[in-house]
Formats: sequence, structure tokens, C-alpha cells
Amino acid sequence: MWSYALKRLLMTIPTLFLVSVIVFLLIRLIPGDPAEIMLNDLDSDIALEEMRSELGLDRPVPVQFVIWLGNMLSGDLGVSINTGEPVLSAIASRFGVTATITALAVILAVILAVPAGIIAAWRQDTPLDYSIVFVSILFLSLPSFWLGLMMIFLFAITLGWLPTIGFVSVSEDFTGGIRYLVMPVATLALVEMAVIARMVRSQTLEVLRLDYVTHARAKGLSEAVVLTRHVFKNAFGPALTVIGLILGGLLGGASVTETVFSLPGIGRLLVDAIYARDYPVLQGCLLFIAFLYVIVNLVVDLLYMVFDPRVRL
Amino acid sequence: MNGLRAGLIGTAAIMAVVLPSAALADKGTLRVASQSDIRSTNPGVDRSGFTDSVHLNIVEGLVGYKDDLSVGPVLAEAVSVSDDQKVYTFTLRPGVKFHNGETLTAAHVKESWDRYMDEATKWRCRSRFNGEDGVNVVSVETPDERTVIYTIDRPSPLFLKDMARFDCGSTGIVHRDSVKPDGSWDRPIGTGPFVFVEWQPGQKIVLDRFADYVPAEGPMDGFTGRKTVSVDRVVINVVPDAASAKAAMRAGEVDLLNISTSDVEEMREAGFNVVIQPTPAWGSFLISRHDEFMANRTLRQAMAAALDVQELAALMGYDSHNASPIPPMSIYYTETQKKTYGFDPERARALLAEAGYNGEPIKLVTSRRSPTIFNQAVVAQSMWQAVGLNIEIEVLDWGAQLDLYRSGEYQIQSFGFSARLDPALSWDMFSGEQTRKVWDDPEALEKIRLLMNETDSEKRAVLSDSLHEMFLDQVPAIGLYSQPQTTALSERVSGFKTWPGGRTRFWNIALDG
Amino acid sequence: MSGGDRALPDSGRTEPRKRPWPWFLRRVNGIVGSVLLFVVFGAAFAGLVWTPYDPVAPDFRARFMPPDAAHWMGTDEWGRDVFSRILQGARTSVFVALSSVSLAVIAGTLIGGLSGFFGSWLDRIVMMLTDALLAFPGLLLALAIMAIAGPSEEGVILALALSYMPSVIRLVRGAVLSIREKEYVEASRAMGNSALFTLFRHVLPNCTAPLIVMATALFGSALLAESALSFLGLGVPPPAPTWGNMLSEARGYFVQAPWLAAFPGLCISLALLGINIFGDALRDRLDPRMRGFEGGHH
Repeated sequence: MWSYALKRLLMTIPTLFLVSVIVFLLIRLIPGDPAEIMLNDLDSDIALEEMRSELGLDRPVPVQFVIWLGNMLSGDLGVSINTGEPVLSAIASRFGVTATITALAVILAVILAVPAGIIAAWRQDTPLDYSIVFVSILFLSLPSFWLGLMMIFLFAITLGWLPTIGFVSVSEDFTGGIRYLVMPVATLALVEMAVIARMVRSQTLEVLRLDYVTHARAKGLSEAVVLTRHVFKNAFGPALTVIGLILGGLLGGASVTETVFSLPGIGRLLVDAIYARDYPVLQGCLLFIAFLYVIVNLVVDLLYMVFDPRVRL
Repeated sequence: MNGLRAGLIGTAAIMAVVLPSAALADKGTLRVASQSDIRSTNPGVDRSGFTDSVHLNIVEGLVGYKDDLSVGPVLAEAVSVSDDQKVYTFTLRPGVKFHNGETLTAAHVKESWDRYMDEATKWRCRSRFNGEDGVNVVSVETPDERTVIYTIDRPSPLFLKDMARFDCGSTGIVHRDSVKPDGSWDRPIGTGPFVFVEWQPGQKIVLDRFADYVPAEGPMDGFTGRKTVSVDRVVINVVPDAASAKAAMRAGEVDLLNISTSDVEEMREAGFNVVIQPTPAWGSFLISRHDEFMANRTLRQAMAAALDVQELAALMGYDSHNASPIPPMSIYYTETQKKTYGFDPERARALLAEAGYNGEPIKLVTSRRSPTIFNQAVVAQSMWQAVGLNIEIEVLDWGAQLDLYRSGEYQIQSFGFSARLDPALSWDMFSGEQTRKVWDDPEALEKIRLLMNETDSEKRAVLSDSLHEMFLDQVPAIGLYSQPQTTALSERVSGFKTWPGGRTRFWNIALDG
Repeated sequence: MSGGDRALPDSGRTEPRKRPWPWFLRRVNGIVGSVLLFVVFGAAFAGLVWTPYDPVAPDFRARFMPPDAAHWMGTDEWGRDVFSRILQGARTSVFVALSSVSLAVIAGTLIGGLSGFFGSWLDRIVMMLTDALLAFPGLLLALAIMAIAGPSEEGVILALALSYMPSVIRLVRGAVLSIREKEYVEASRAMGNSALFTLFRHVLPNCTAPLIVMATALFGSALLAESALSFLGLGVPPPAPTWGNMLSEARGYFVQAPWLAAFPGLCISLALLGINIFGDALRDRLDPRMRGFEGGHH
């Protein structure tokens, strides 16, 4: 298993290199450069040229790439053009926020969705099943920014229970920090819950039809035991793939949710960097996101082997 | 930056101990929400409009802008100018303290100036003072602790104005300890009424009251006059989405928020106090002189005549329109400057026929940078369509639009210029040889050059007026209005005043409850 | 299933029994889903031929009018009729979603099919590119494409298609890999049919079931993604209406003029409800083993 993991890790290097090249070229094809945006409508052409050469934008793109690659390999991702922060520390601090809400949302979603999915399948074609399916489809059908705004309207404006701006991380102030997490985590969790519940339901349906479940039941095992011991384990493995995909996607930043709740997460960092053409941040962020994605997939595959002994790699 | 990070973590640790709950800190804290973040804590170097706003609460220059956009003393007590207009003598206010406790002396002023003029500092306004793009400061002398003497190479109406410019950080005097031993920027140690506490990029900026601030005399007038600080702390939260910012204000989490004029009514209905303040920021449609089709002056005149600018302004929520780049609060806003194109659809149709226009599509570039820049394009499109002009709107992101602005490769674009605080600069912002400039009429450029160097205000007014007449006739751009700034305030805020400079001042604000 | 061929037995997915009703109408969810989808496509079609008012022409005297007899869904911040914009928005939203999904499915099937069938270096390159594309946030892709090609409907379509393509490629490649070694494929090759013929005639048709199921899920996802892109300012540019940009614009007025958000929001949700329910029915019928490929956009 470890040699497999190592091999997979090595295989990511060309992918990451490719991502870097694409990113580097793509962002320089977008009209507008950071120097122009910083100068805005102000006058001096001298200042514009100075700024471009200071940022190294006056050099040929391949040269810029080689310089960036060299620095990156020595652990230096550069400095944000927009805020002067080192890219690495910007990513680290923003990722903390994103990772917190993502982890909480996915855990919450799994805790609620897995039993819901199993129960729905177990009681297939009953009102209980229909309600679970309907509710999950309902949450799938709401744009997340809309869900977020509705929550702000209800919990912050009308009821005044929760704060919407002025994020504090839980490490700074635990009780205060939790209050900021409730709405974003709920927004993400509701949508993901729907995805996972549907996935678990269809997996469970399939497992329930299998012979060994019938055997287990025939042996006189209680339904609870059948569901937890036999069905859960076999249905959860495949669901892991979906959870992994979700996690990979969310860790790369939930830009919309982060914007609605004014959270300083990595998705927001990315969006701001796009608008400001903050090349170093964009490059660093995207490389980091790609790396995360690859790692999450790897971990999921390894977990899959743990959960589903039929898979041998 | 590692120092800053360590500092942040330290502050965080202290806050976690001292403040068990964020809510407790609210009394005496002015809570501000801003859609943009600052770009640095280094005045006049890494900046943006909002960055200047924040910096100018922390640092002060020798001089600053007043409500009528003239310049008055701030750290100086008096400024005297020699008869040949080349020697400026500044007398410093006594007893002014830096945030680190040191008393301001002439030596500090010179030291700060030398830092700005050092190429390595990358001060944005260096070229305005070394002769490259304006006057040359020949010498700065400090005969005694409270006197600074600047000598420039030629008379200029702009010397003090440039010094006070917001984007120059008001040439704010910073203590040498603002800079680390290795020469890199650390944190601003200025003399302003607020002390910089922390900045968490993308999240918040915290300023504290400077307890030892020594206010100047005189009524509050722009950045000059008496500054009394009655809030303990200012917390500026970065809230990128306008809808979320409004929601936070409704939820009672924000005391001060700059809003779009289209939200004025809504926020008033919601019970907030909304202050509207005209500023010199100028909304306009720029017409590229590099586009062959738009080179047709009659066509441009037709476009100007087809716009009901008064209605357009009213739809934007503005009280008045202004075809001239000179703002109404300026002493140069004469009767002549009030002239506009004259809305006349019949004339517009006649001019279109004369221009030989046959329904060719004309591209109007805009962006969602501000609601105004986008909305004015939508409204104008329908007004132009009414006289038979075929206008296609192209919505870009701001960076892409700016790129077109710089290169001149567009037909028309919906634009907004930030405030220029002198008539010469107002005319210069869109006139010249550079590709981004839309007006290159030689006669006009010569007049602007004269305006730059003329120190007599009556002669300046005459020059500026004749430029406006030419501007209305040649239509290199269509002027729309001087854009007001609109600020919504919560009930607990009192004493907040806006001013034509538009930069938010956190002093002289009181909080109750 | 039209996977028939000349001399070979069918690959298995046949349902020869006759039924009085089309399968999708037999189950309740099939009916509900079909009705909702019918309404959505109906609206899109209506928007193509007729709207009560000009959906983009402002009427400055009729701004923020609540729903009444003249304007069934009220008017927006420019006095434009919301109902007309909903109809035209349906056209744009459905068109964007359909085109991007079709593009992703067609290109993805070709690439995935060739890659899986021929294997070796081609497969390795395709998989590397696919991984790179998958690891790429769709957002940046969207902005880059919009900025390079000019912001437009086509830009959004291309951006969405590109971000969906990797999943299609993977699905088809996986299916092809499992079918490649089947006897009837080998038989086709043995009969002297060319590789390409075999691929198109015998291999790809057998991927249709999971593809259709995936396409339905992607269609729903595209509707949502379009609104998320609009929210971030990267969607189909106004003043042309889409449900996504209407909803996104309306968020600034959601206390003052709630109907502005309610109607497009309702439309998006109903359309998604329809497609999801329909998709479920389709999945039960075509391929119960299909895994959830849908996902929200955050």
C-alpha cells in the first residue's frame, strides 16, 4: 500500500507541473495587468513602466516562468502584488479558515446524510423514503449564495442571533469563533448532505439486494445489526469517493459561500487575486489547490481499500 | 512580514485573554464595513483610494486639503511663500507627538522627506518633486527645530497641492522607526489622531485612539482644523459583497458604511441616517480618439445631444449633472462651467443624418466596478437607442476595461475618474498625447500647459472656462456628473461629517450607546 | 437502446417487454420530473418566440413595481418586466446549460473513448491532462475564457463545458476499458472491422446509459453553476437576462423588492427539482449503479 501511495505521489509531479504551466500562460493571456490595476485612472506612464519592471512583467513570459519555478522549488512563492503579504503565509492563514468550515461541513453532512441515506433505502418507497429524497433534492436545487443570504436574513437580521461580519477564528476566541461558523457551515453542509444522502441511498439499495444481506437476515440477525454491520460498511466505501470529491472541491475554496459570509478563506483569496491580476497569489493558490486535490484523491483511494476489502491495488 | 505575523499572533493571544467575548469590545468602537481592503500600511507607496483614506487617519503632512479644495496647514502652523514664489517656509506646530511618544521636529520632517525622495522608497509622487514631471525641489533646510524651508526651481500653483494629494499619502510625516533596520517598511508611526494597531489582509484593519494627540486650532475643515477623537477604537471589516454589507448593517453590526446611491432610499427606510456628499469624482463616457468611426465629430455631438443628462443623473440618484470636469465645490466652477450639451433629440437625429450614420453598431464598454459605471451605461444605451443609435454594451471586468482604457482600443467606455483637486489636473486627466487620453487638440493642450504654470487664479479661471467651451464643442468625452459619496450611519453615530475630499475621517465622531 | 449491430449478439441491456406507458411516466417521480421539465422547456421555447414586454428595454417610470395585472411578476430596478425576463432568461439559461453539457459530452466521449480504446501513450497523456483540468478551479477557467474570448454566452458555455469534460472523459474511458475486452468487441476486430469502426459501432453505444444519467446531473449542475458564476460577476453579462444573473442582481434588493429574487430563484429551484427527479427516475431505470456525479457550486 505504501509503495502504491509513493508511486501515486510521484505521478502527481507531472500533473502539478502541467497545472503550473497552464496557469502561468492563462493568466497572462487575460487582458489587464496588476500594474495597470494598481495605478487605476492615475496618470504617470513613468510609474506604470517602473511598476511593471519592478514586478518583472517586462521580461519574456518563459523567463518569468523559469524565475518563478526556481523560486517555487526553493520554497519561495513570492509576495502578493496586492497586499504585500508573502504568498505562502497568505495561503496558510486563508486555508485555515477554509479548512475549518470545510471539515466541519463535511463531518456534519456525513453524520446526518449517512443514516438518512441508509434509512431511506431500508424503507424504500415509503413516505419516509420520499421525504428524505425530496428534502435532499430540494437542498440540491438551491443556489448556495441564495441559501446563505436567506440564512443571514433569518438568523442575523430578523432574529439577531448570529453575526455576519468580523470573522474571528476559533483559535482566537472559541465561543465567538463558533458563532461565525454556524451559517457558512450550515450552508455548505445542507448541499453536501443532499449529495451524500442520495449517494448512500443508492449504494444501500444495491447492497440490500445482495445475497449475504438476505443470509444475514435469514440467520435471524436484527435489522439494526444487519444495517450497521453489513450494509453500512459496504455502502460507505463507494460513498467515500463522493465525499472525497466534495472535500477536494471545497478545500479549494468555497468562493461563493466565503463571499456571502465575508470569510477570509482561500476561495475569496483566489477571486480577489483574479480581479487584481495578482499573479503570484494566483499561481501559488492554484498550485496549492491542485496539490490538495491530488492528495485528497490519494487519501480517498487508500481509505477505499480499508473500507472495501474487495479492492486490492 | 514575519514580524507582522508574529505581532498578529501575539495580539491575538492577548486579545483572547483580555477579551473573552468580541461583543464586550463594542462600546467605544466604531465599526466600519468596507468592500475593499487596504493595500498596505505604507502611505503614498502601495496605495488605492481606500488605502489613502485609512492612512490619512494615521499620518499627517505639513499641509492638507480643506473643504473648498484649497490647501491649508496641518502639521505646519503657518506657511509663508516668498515673493518670487520659489521659497516656502513652514513653521511646525509646537508639541506635536509621534505615536511612539517622540516630539515632532524639523529634523523629522526632513528625514521623512528624504525617505520619500529616495528612489528605493518607491513613493508614488517622487516624479512630481524631482523635476521629472513637475517642479524640482532644490533644497530642504531646517534652520531650527520648528522651521522647514523648501526651495523649488520655479513658481507653481501645484506645489502645495501635490504635497497634500491623497495619493501621495499627503506626504505624511512618518517616524524613522516606521522602517525596519534593513530599510523595509514595518508599520506607520505618524502623528495622526489614530494609531495603527493591526491589519489582517482580507479581514480587518484596527486603529486605536492616539491618547497624546495634540489637536490644532480652528474648525474642522477638510484635513485641517481641530481633530478631537472620541472613539476608542475603529475596526474596519472587509466585506466584499455589497448585499452582505447592507445585511450586516441591518443586523446592527456596522456603524458606518459607504453605500451606492441606488441604496440611499432603502437604507433611509430601514432607519439609517444617510449622508450625501458631492465629491470631485467625475462620471463620464470616454470616446476613443484611436477609433476611426468615432473620429466623426458630428457623430459625437449627436451622441451628446441625445443624452438627457439631467434625467440620467436623477436615475442614478444624483441631484445635479455636470458636463465639466471641474467640480461644483471648486472656486473655478464658474457660470461657464455650468454649461452642458443641451438635451435635444431632434437635433441629435439631424446631426446623426449629417454625420452619415446608418445604424452601424457602436460598442460601449463598461464593467461592474461600481454600480454607477454599469448603470449609467444601461440608461444611456436606452437614451441613445431612442434617437436611432445602435449601441451594444460589452461588460468586462475592471482589469480588462482598464487595459482598454490604457491602450485606447475601444469606441466608447463608461468611466469614472477619481477626484482631481486642481483645475489643471482636472483637464489634464483625459487630455494629452498618451494613448489613454481622449483629447489631443493642440490648442487645448497648450491651454492646459499654461494652466499648470499659471499662479494667478483669475487668469486660471479664464483658461479653464475657454477649455470648457472647446470641450463641449469637440466632445472628446461626454461629462455627466460629479459623483456624490453616500454614507449610511447607525443610530449611535453622531457628529460624522463628510467633505468634498471624500476621504473618511474618523475624528470628531461620537458614539452613544 | 440502439446498440444493435450486424452479426453480433447485443451486449445485454435490452428491455423487450411492452408497456402501455412510456417508462418515465409510470413512476410518480418520473411524472413530476417530466412535468417540471416540460414547464421549463416550454418557458424557454416561449421566450424564443414571444414575451409580453421587451425584456431588456428599461422603463424608468415603472421601477420596482410589485407584481400586478400589468406585470405578473413585477418590474426590476430598471422597470423591466420580470415575467418577460424570466421567459427570455429561460431560453438563455436552458441554452447555456444544454450547450455546455452537450459540448462536454460529445468532446468527452470522443476523447475518453479513443483514450480508453487505444490506451498506451495516448491514454497516459489524456489522463494527465484530465487530472490537470480536474485540479483546476472552474472559476479561473471561466474568467480566463471570458476575458480572452470576450464575456459572452459562448464564454460561459465553453468554460462550463471545459470544467465538465474531465468527468465525462473519465466515465467513458472507464466504461470503454471494461467493454474493450468483451468477446463481441474482439469478434468485431476479428471480423476485420477497423478499430475506429469497432469503437464507434460496438463500444461507445454501450456507454450511453451511464452517459445519459451523467448528462442529466450535469445539466442541473450547469444551471446552478451559471448562477454562481453570475454571483461572482463572471456569468453571462447583463443586460441580457439569465435566471442566474437575475437572481444574482436581485440579492442587492432582497429586503426592498423580494419578488425580484423570488421568481428567478423559484425557476432555478423548480428546474433543478425537475431535472433531479427526472434524473433519479432515469437512473433507476438505466443504470442503478451510477454514482452521484452532481455537486453544488460554492
